[in-house]
Amino acid sequence: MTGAWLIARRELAAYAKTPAGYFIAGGALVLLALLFHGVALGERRASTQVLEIFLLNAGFVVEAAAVLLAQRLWAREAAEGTDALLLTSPLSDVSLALGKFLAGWVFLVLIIALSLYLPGLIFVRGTVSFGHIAAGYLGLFGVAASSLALASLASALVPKPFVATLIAGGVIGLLELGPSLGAQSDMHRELLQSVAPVWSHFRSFRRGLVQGSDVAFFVLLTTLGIAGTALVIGQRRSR
Amino acid sequence: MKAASLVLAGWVAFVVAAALEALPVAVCGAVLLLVAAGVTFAQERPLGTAFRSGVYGLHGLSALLWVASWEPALELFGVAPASAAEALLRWCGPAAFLLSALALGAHELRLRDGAFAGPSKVLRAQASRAALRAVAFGSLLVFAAGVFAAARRWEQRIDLSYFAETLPTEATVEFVAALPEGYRAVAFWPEGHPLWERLEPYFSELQGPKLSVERLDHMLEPALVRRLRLEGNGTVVVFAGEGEDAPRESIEVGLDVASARPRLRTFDARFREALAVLSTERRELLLTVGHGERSPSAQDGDAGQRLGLFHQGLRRANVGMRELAPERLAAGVPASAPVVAAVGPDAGFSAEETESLLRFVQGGGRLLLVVGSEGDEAGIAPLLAGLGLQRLPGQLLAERSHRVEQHGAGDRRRLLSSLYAAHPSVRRAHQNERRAPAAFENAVALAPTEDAAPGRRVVFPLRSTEDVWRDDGDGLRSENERLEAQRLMAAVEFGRLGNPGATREGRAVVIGDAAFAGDGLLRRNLGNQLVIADSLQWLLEGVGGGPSRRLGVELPEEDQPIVHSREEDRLLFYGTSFGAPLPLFAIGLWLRRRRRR
Repeated sequence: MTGAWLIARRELAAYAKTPAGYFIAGGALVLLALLFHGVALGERRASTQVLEIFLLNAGFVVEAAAVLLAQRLWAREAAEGTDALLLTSPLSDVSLALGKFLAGWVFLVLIIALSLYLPGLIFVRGTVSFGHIAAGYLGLFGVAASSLALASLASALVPKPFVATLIAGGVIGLLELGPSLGAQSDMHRELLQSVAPVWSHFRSFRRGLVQGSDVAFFVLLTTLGIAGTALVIGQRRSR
Repeated sequence: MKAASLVLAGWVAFVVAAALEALPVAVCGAVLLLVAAGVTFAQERPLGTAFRSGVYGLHGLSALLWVASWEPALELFGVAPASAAEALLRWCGPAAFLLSALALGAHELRLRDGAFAGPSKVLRAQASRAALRAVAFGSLLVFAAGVFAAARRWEQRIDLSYFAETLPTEATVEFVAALPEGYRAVAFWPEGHPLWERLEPYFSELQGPKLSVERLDHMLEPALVRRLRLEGNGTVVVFAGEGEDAPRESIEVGLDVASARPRLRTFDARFREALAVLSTERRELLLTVGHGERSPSAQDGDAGQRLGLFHQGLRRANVGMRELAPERLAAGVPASAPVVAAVGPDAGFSAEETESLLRFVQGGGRLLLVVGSEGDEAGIAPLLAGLGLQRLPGQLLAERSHRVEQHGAGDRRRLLSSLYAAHPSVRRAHQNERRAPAAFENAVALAPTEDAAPGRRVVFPLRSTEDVWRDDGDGLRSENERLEAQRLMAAVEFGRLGNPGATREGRAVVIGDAAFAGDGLLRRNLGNQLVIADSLQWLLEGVGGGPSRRLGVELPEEDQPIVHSREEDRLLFYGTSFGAPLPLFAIGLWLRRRRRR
């Protein structure tokens, strides 16, 4: 765990010292604010409805941000040739994978936390419970973790950043399409309807509910992504 | 033929079979995989290694196992649904297929890396290790799926949403405090039921000498349930006194948590309605008809024309609504009627009707008059003059303090104002002014007349903001159309001193927009709800039996639509969309410049 934390600190310091991190954070906030105003200032909706729709949009923005961020974790380093230092380090595969993931996740969590002023605007003329906002944001952290873990796996598999982004986006997009595909198939309906991170498992968080199965889904998907990344790193190291 | 090609063909067959739900195609896929295993065995035999062909063989067998777990196969083999065999097949088949597919894929990919040099012992060892790592990952995947399935079965949830905890509103607490002693609420749910656990804090807040609360299980009280004619648990019965024969009212909630959520949101209002029905003498409000007024029926006209919510609010306070026909009105308002309401009388009143209404109010009656800029001036002006009021010409338009609905010039007439005075007719609206602006659709300005009748007092509890003008109809502000605050509502009192023979002081509330109390504005504007509720509360004060009761249309605890004006829109939009993220961009640009230096 110490090794993972060392890697995470190094990465976070890189985000803090490079302009790209701030541009990504600022861009994500602008997009979230535009989506929020598109809902809140459009039709007149009840406060909880505004919050639920904002959280849904935020879920997709977080997924997209995770996919874009993940290509910096492994694929870009491989493309630039700077991954040799990591691959030859004495740290274990799991420490490397976990450290990189932690850095990306903490960065995403910071961006998500900075956006708290947006649902706070609901209190100007409406009212929602703080618990509802807390549940929604907990779900967003879960979406960020699972999307980042999957995208990190794609980034470790493919040393080309653009291709890695496409693959990660494609996989996550297919997962989100699961419920639509499940509606067409009797045999695999239940399975397909339970694979979408935002459409299926983020729904309860959007409504202010913290549901055990949804928490388990995000934790397990994240674990699988990190384990898969460690596996791929191990493969690359053994060559 | 290469083994890898056969495997790929097999996998394609499985995908097609899954899409078409065709068992024969899946069987063909499994056969292809077994043939691939045979080909691999033939290739490996001269080298004397078994690992690779073992992986292929296991993959082929797992494919058969997976096919056997499909529903058509289960039906074919007569495996009973929901049996242990079916459960085992459903889990083991796909799990084995996945694990062997991962092992095979990892093994072959590793071998391909060394394809130029030929398969050496070292490469084979690495490929075997890769396959085992893949199996480890696959096992983690299967384990995760199992944990997820268990989590779904166990399913625990924490509800943090706004309506998670049902608590009584201030209106209900005061209502209960003003009750005489001896009221009882009996909730029928089994012990530990989630809905009872949701409502228990609600009743704990209200429980006391005025209201006792008890929970009973329907199954354990058959005699009582039979007497009350209840079908099952999920109901709250309120009794006005001891004994099962006391007057009672029932409130249905239900047993399923998900479907009961909408009923929980309105539980407080329904509980208060039940208490009102039991504790107050029924009072009546007469609604004038026949002059183009808004319809009391919820079916007629568009939302702005209907008074459905207005009617609902009165019902919850045990106030009945009856129509007052023009002929009856002209003959004189019935003595039994405490309150008369005229909502949007576009055609105006005849001289006899005006005389009758004024006599009624001056003699201690109560009048709610909601008029707009439309309507026959000759039919409305005398009534207003009798109340010490006049309508100023011109529709009110606002430069900034208006709702945004069509994003055009037409929005200027949709005024918003929360400039309430400290008057009982707007008491709660004043307390909640920050989030309860009153909304208008076509407002008209009111003003006092110059004549002063003895004992009559006129106040204006609601004014517009100062960016409002009286428009001459062209929608544009000209030089002679000044911006100034306008009076939107008036409260009139006729003291008993000026009216000998009156048993109480007469009161009238006049609101300068015919759509103010319609469903269109009432449904989505908390300010309108509170103004109407407070006004009716003030008008009903001291009228009818029993202690004064709080009128409640849906109060602040209900989820309200967000309403803000165009001015606020602009500030919020630019401030939060670009202003808030600006520091991040600034830091990024500064770092970029520093790097270049």
